[in-house]
Amino acid sequence: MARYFLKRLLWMIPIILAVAVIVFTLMTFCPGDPAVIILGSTALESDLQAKRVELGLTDPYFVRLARYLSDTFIRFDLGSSWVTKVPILDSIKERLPRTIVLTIITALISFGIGIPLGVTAAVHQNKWQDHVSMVLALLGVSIPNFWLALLLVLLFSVKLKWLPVSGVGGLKYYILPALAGCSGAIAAMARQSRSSMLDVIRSDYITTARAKGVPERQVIQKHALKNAMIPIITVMGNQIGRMLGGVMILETIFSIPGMGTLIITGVNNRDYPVVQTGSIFLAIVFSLVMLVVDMAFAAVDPRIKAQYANSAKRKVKTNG
Amino acid sequence: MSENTNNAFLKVEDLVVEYFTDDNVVHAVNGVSLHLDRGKTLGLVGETGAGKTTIAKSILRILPDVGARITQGNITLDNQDLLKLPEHEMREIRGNKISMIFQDPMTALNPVERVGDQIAEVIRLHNNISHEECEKRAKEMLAMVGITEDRYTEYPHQFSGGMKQRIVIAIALACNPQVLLADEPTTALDVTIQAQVLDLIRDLRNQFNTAMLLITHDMGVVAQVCDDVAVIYAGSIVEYGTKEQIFHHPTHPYTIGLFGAIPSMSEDEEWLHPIEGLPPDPSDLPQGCPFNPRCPYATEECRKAAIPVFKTADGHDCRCCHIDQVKKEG
Amino acid sequence: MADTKKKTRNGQSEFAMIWKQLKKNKLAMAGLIIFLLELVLAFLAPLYIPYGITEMDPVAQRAAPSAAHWFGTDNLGRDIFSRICYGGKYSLTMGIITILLSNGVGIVIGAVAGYFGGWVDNLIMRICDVFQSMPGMLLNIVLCAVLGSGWFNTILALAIGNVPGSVRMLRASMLKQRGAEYVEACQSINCSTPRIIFSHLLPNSFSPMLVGMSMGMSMMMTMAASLSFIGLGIQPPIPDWGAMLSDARQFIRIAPHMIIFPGIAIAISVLALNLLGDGIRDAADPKLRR
Repeated sequence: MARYFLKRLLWMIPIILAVAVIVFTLMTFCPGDPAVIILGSTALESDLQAKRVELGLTDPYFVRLARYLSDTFIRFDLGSSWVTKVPILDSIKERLPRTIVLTIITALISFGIGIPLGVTAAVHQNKWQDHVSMVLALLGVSIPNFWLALLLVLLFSVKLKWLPVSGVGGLKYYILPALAGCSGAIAAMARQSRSSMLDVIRSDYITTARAKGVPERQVIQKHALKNAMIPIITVMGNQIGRMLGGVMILETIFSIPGMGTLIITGVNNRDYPVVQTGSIFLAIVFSLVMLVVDMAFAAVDPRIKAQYANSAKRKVKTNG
Repeated sequence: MSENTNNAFLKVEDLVVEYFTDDNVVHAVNGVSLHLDRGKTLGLVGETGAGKTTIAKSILRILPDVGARITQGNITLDNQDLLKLPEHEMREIRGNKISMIFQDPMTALNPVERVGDQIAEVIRLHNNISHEECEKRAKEMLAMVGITEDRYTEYPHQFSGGMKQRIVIAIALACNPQVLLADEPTTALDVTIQAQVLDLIRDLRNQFNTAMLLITHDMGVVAQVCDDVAVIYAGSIVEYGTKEQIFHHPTHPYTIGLFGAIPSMSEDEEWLHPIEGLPPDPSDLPQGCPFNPRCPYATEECRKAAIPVFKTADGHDCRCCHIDQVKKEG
Repeated sequence: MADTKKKTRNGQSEFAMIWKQLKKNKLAMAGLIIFLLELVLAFLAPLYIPYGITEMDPVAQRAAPSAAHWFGTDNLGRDIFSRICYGGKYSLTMGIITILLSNGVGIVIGAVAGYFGGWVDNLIMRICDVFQSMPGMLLNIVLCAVLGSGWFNTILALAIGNVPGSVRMLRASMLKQRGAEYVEACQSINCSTPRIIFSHLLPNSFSPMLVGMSMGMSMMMTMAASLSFIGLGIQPPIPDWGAMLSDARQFIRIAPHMIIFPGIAIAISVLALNLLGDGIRDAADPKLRR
C-alpha cells in the first residue's frame, strides 16, 4: 500500500510538468498582446516593443518554454505578475489557503448533508422522505451555483442585511459562498448515495445480515453503507473537482481574493505567469485530492486494496 | 397427517405471500402448509420460481420490505406465533433459533468485512459474551466447517465458492439453531464440493438435533438427506409425504414428471421424459389446478376450481383429482 | 437467456428499447417536451417578441416588471422578456452541441485506443490523465481565453475540455464489454479485432455512453452559463442568459429583477435536461426494465 501511494505520488511529477507545458502552450496562443494590455492601447510602438523584449515575448516558443520550465521547476523561481509586479509566490501563499478553506467548508457541508439525505431516501424508498429529498436534490442539481449565489446575496445581504456581501474577514464571509457552493454538491451526493444504497440494499449479503438478527439500523449503517461507499466516494472526488471550479466563480461574485479571482483576472489581463503558476498549484491540489480518493477506495474495500498491492501482478482473482 | 401436525416443532399453515408491483400482483405462495420436527429434515422440491425461497424467507420474516406481503397464514415455532411477534423479539429468533443458509455463497457474504467477524457478529448478537469469547467461538466454528483459524482475518474474495459456502454454513450454525432453513445450499457449487457440503450439513444436523427445511430442485439431494418431501408447484404444495412414499409411489402427475426427467441408472432408457411446457406466470395463474396446462391427465374438472387435498396413504397427501387414473397408468 | 439476447442486439434496437422505456416515464417526457418547447420558442422568437433585442426604452431603464415589459428592462432599457426569448437559441443549444461534439471525438479516440491497444492506448490515456488533473472549470477558463469569446468558440472550448472524460467513459464501457463472454465467442469464431470493436463493442457500449451524454448536457449548459457569467464565453450584447446575468450583477441592489428572470430561464432548462437525463439513465438500466 505504502509503495502504491509512493508510486502514485511520483507519477504526479510528470503529470504536473505536462500540465505546465499545456497551460504555457495554451496561453502562448491566446489572442491579445500582453504589452498592449499592460501599457494601454495608446502606448507608443517603441514602448510596446521594449515591453515585449522585457517580458521575453520576442523569443521563439521553445526558448520561452524551456526558460519557463527551468525557472519554475529547477530554480523554483515563480516570477512576478506582469501587471501588478507582485511576486506570484506571495499571492499564492496568501490566496491558496482561502480557496482551500472555502472548498473544504463546502465539501464538509455537502457530504455531511448529502450522504445522510440519500441514505434516508433509499431506506424509505417511495415514501414521503424519499420524494421530498429527491425533489430537493433535483432542484439542487438544476440551479446553477452562481445564480444561487446572486439570490443569496439578494436575500441575506441586500434585503435582510444579515451577512456581508463580499470580501474576506471572519467566518461569516464564508457562509454565503459555502451555501451557494454546496447546494449542487449536496444534491449530487444525495442522488448518488440513494442509488448506490438501493443497489446494495437488494444484495444477498444484506439479507444474510437480516437473517442473522442484526438490528435494521446496523444493517444500514454497518453493512449497507460501507458497501455503497465506492460509487459515493467516486462522486465525492468528482464533486471536489467541481467545487474547486465552482469556488473560482464564487470568489469573483463575493470578491474573495483567492485563486479563482487571481486566475480569472490573470486570464483577462493576459498575465501569463500568474495564470500558468496558479493553474499548476490548482492542479497539484486537485491531483492530491484524487490520490486521497483512490486511497479511500482501498480503505473501504479490501478487494481494491488487494488490487493495489498486486498492481504489478494483475491476475490474482477470487476463483479457486 | 393432520393428527400428528399439532405438536410439530415448526408449523406453517395456509401461508399466502404476494408481491405487489406497480401494475400487478404476483402470487408467489398460495396456501402452503408444512410441519417439521426436531432432528428431521423436510425437503421442499420444485422448479425455480415455485416460491420455495419465499417460504423460507417468510418463516424468518426477511421478505423485501417493498412490495412483499404475507396476506394469510400462521407460522409457529414451538407454539409461538412468529408472524405476531414484535420485530425486536423476531430479531432474537433470527440467526439464533432459526437460521438460514443461502443459495449463492458468492453473494451471501459481505465483501468488505472479514469472514471471522461475520461469524462473530451473529454470536455476539445472540450471546451476552465478551469480544474475545466471540472471536474464540467464531474460530471454533471455522474449524468445525474445515477452515483453519488463521483465515479468520481474510475477506470473502480470498475464498473459493465451496469455502464461502462453508462460511455461510458456519454463520448459520454458530448459535446452534433449532431450525435450519437450507435454501439450495449446494446448487451453486461444483459436484465434488456438493457432496462435501451436504455431508457437512448432515453431520452438523445430527450433532445438534436440528430440524431442517432443505430447499432444492435436485431429487438426488433429497434422496441423500431428507426424511419427508413436499413437492411444490407454482406456489402450492402438490404432493407431500415421506421420502419413501414420494420416491416409490409418486402420485401427482407433476412429481411423476419430475422423476421422468431424471436419467435412471438401473434401466436402459433411450430418452428422458421432460415435462412439456413452462411453469405458469405467477402473476397470472391458470384457474383450478395450476399444473393443468401441462398435465397429461387434465380434464374440465381441473380447470374449474381449486383442487382439494386427497390422502393416498397415512401421511401421504396429493392435490390431484385423478389419483386413481394416474396410479393405474403410472 | 434474456440476458444473452440483450447483448447481441445492435445499437439501433437498443435505442428503440430505451425510447420505448423512456416514453413511459412521465417526468422524463415532461423534461423533453419543456426543452423542445423552449427550443421552438427560442428559434421563433423574432416572430413574436414585443421589442427588438437591442431596442432601448429611454424612459424605462432598469424598470421593474410591468404590463409593457413583462420581465422588466435592463440597465439600457432593453426588454428582458424579449432578450431571454431570443437569447435561448444561444444558451439552449450550447450544452447539446458541446456534448455531441465532444462525444463524437471521444468515441473516435476511444475506439482508436481500444483498437490499437498497447502504447497507443497508454499514450492516449496518459494525455487524458494530464487534462483531467486540472479542475474542469479551470481548463475551460483557459481554453476559453485561448479560443476567444462567441457562441461557437465557447462550444469548442467546452467540447475540448470534455473530450478526455468521454474518451475515458467509452473506454471504460468497452473494457467492461471486452470481459463479456460473447466477445470470447466472437474470438472463437475468428472475428477480426476491428470487427469485434466496431460491430460488437461499440454498439454495446452505446447505452452507457448515451446515459453519460444525457447527464452531461445539463452540466455543460451550466458550465457555459458560468463562463459567460464571468465574462468569458458569450459576451454582451448577445443576450445569452449567462451574459445577461453578468450584466445584471452590478445592479443587484437596485434592479433585482434583472438577475431573477435569466436565472429562472437557466434553471428551468437545466431542470428539464436533468429530468430527461434521469429518464434515459433509468430506461437504459436493465435492472429497472420490466
